[in-house]
Amino acid sequence: MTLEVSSKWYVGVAVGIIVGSLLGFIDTYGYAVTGYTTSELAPIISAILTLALLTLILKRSPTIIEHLISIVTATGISLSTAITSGMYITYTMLNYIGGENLNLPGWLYFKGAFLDGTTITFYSYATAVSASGVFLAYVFHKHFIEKERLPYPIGLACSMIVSMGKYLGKPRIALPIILGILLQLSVLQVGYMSIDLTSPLQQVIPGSSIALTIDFFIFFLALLIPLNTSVGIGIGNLIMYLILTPLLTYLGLMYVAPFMKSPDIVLEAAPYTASIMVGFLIVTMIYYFMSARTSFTLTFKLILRDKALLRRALLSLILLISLVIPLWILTKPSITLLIFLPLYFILHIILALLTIRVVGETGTVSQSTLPLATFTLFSLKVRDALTYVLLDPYTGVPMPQFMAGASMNIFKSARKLGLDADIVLPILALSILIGAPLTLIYGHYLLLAYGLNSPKLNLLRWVPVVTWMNIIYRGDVSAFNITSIIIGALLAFTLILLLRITRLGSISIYSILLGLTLTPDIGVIFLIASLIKYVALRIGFDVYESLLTYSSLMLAGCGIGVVVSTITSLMGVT
Amino acid sequence: MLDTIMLVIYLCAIAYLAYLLTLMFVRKSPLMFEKSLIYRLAFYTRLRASRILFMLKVLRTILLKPIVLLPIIALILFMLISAKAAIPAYTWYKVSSKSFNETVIMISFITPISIDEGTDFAKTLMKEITKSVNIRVRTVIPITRLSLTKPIILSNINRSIYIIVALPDNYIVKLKESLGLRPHVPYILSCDKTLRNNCISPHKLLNLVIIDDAYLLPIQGYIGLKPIFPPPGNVMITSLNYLPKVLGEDLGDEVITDLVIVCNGVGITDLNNLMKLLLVILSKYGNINKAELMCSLGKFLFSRVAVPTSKSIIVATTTSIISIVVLLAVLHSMTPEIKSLYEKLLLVGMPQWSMTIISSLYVSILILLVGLPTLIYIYLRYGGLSTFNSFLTLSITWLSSLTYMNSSLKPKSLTKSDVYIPVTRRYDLILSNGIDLNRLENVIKDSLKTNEFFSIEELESKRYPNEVVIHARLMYNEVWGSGLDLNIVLSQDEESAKVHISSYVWGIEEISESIMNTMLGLAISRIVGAIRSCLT
Repeated sequence: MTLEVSSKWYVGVAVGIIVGSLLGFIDTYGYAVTGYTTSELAPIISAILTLALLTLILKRSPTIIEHLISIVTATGISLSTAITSGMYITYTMLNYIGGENLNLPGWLYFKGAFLDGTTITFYSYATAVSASGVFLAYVFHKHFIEKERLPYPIGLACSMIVSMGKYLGKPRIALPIILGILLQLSVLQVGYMSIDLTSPLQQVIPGSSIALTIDFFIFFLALLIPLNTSVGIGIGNLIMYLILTPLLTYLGLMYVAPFMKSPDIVLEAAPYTASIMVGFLIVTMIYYFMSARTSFTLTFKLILRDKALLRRALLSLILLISLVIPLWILTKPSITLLIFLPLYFILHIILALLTIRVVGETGTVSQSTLPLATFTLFSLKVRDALTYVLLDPYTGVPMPQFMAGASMNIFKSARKLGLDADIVLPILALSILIGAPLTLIYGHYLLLAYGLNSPKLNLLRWVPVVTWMNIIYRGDVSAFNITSIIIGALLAFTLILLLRITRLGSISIYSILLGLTLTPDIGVIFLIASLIKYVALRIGFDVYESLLTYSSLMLAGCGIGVVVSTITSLMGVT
Repeated sequence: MLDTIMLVIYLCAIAYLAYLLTLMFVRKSPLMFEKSLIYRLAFYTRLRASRILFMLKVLRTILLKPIVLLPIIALILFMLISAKAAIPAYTWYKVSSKSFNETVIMISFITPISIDEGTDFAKTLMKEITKSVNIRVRTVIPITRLSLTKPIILSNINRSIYIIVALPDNYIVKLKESLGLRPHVPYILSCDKTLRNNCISPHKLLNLVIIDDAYLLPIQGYIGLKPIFPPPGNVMITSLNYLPKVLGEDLGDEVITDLVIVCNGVGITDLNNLMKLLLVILSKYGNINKAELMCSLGKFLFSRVAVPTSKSIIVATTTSIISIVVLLAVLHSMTPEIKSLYEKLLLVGMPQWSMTIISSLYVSILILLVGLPTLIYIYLRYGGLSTFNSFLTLSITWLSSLTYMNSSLKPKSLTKSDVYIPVTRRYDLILSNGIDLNRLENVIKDSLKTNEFFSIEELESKRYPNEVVIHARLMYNEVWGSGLDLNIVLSQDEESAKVHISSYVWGIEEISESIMNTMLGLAISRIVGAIRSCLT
């Protein structure tokens, strides 16, 4: 079957802009007010929303290209919220709650009704730098999708929904979506049901934590993720909260009380988790690039031979290196930082590639690969907030790694459906860039409408985040812990050896890496999902594939549930 | 200057992308989709119901045996024994070894209580303590520490208050005096740009203590060993008498969230008695969230989480062992029958692995059907702690039975016996000369087209002198997201004709080895068969 570009592709773009603008607003509102965002799941949610709107406008089922173009556009706009409004609100809270001594520039945060021109320019520029991740993903998409054959579960789910699009009205396709919406709405209304065994555990293994929260979002995502990856995430999580946090407590690094719940342990362990991740990432990164050196060498040779690829790779690099200009003008960096800056940019690219690798297995990587960048700046004695704002993808604004990982899901989806990556690249990157000022304005007007004294924006919710950023920016020695870094490195080394020697080789170290950063109530969900997947796989591959189909549909339903909930919350319906 | 540079970079990026996009859509030749994986609805939801039904029927046959009643009764009995043996123990949890001159008991309530209730509580508590411990109460301080979800707005200074801490009048007067504030100031706030008089520095506010190292402000959590306080700008410290003016209609009688009882120093022997006594007394009150004891031995936290004593754990383990013995005896007696059933089923096509699923399900269903209702009953009748003990018994029994059943019914491996031609991804055939490559090509293409196990997604071939290359992408009909790519090279020289087949199995997700082998076998054997038939 061969499809040509539809003459109505522009309708796809228009619908994508409308849906993306809506999703962008919902993500911004969700981030600031309710704490729920669907930014990384935008390809799945927009697949349903754009389909509905396209069918309404075109009065027929959209073609795959129309549908896919609208998804790419909507996702691009939605992704920009993480860079613009997300960080704008974060810095506003940082400045308001505890950032008085950090000397943050006024254009970085909300000051009043007037939205500063510099604010718009800076956040738009930072989004352009972040979009370098999209170019990087494009340059390496064949390497990760074809050579490493990574599944990219979110991209996979998106492609499944698109190819099922014309059957959306059929009960067996519509029902799981509706069920997903209802499940998510019920959870948002009643609250997450959870069992937390952390308190009793403090008497038995101080510092440990086990909990289970019925989170449908995570559950359906866990069902979509490959079996061994799901097991790896679960194991990583158990290692963190049954071995590492008790070890930290034993070493006297954590305060433990019998009434503590799992969120308390997570919060307490935060600086150590980041440090453990630093050690873990250093070893994992070396291992990954050493073991994949042959295929990377071939890929690099290919890039050097292909002019189009080389141009895009250079553009990505130029965008990233352009950060030197604001850095030089605004902060007057130290000689040490300037000397190490080229190496730091290389680290940016390496982290982006590692993020793409991890996303390939897990679908979403959150920010688990990024503490290494923060640690590098911290080690280079960077003690002013603005340098972190400009250079750190973990606590700062430009995040090429996030964009690279998220966009690779789109590339995978498009490739699965047969759309050329050359079309996806400009549409995705352009919608991210055009979405930047729009989503920034959302963030600004949300703060303007509610004000910082509104119960809608509960300040106390921001205290832990802001405290953590404060600790780093001020150069507090407790920000990173050497013992924890060594523990992380030893753990990675031991796990790599164990996985190679034992028959557990199919469990990847990257899934364990993600498991280490997740909260204790989530790890168990991944283990349950793995068990279900294992049984389904044993019954038959057709059963297994049906499980994947229904999980995608239910996950899309959950995403729409969040959208519905946010809209009703905005309208004052509780 | 910087604004302009950033704007230029942003606009350049947009312009470049717009240029790329234009290039894509202004091409004269239409953009073609690559061959796509279009899922077929017919396969989306089709379950292999027969396999599930098959396994369920076997399961029913072995579950409905009268002998199964024995482990059921045994399991219920031992779970109940385990539950009855659960003895709770509240403990003190030592958090610091720092010695204190005074003995201080700090109690936080789950829901606020009234001032009178607080005073009565302190009196009753001390009355019971002083019966057996030589201790003298110096003072009782009721405190209010409210964390508001809806802030109070102090409009005159445009500040929202999330945390209110209120102390008795005499303490607030002393506090103001020590901080150098005027006595008529109704509340204490932290200074900032809008407020510079009658306030204290945020740092000072955060470090206010009730006594020794007990902070006045509520602690939101810890990062490492560092306590996290609420933002000082959103905190108000006032007197209990002034509280109604601050909270207005929102204030009820119940405002006391914490009680601090300060006593004189106590000797070590008396302290041990005091700690034991406090455990007994405090455990009677349901409204206590947290209790701290600071004394010459250090700082202790009262753990409301009752854990089973070592004695009750031993009982739970012993009952588990007896329960396992009974269950294994029954399972062992059933093993020959199940094995014989398995061998018969194997002959009619049951896959080997399904025995593992059946045995796991058998043990799990048996234990869950009995265990869950019993656990619910125990929870309702005896409470959480007994349920924990019974759960321990149930888990140990389940894990042991599962391990035993799976190991005793483990199917024999076929790897050591004769296995015919191993499935391979590459296959080479050397044929005697005299075969026309065109005919061979047609035969192979026909065999692919008529293979009922696969549908063709792509089939293309290219002819060169003395060589034909065939590429095929096949979708496996059993499922919707898996298939295989075949590359077949036919070459001819003076002596012979060669057929080289290489294949790659792909799927929407990871594919088990058995599925992969099935697909490879079905595809390659058909091609090889067709070539052989063409030769004869």
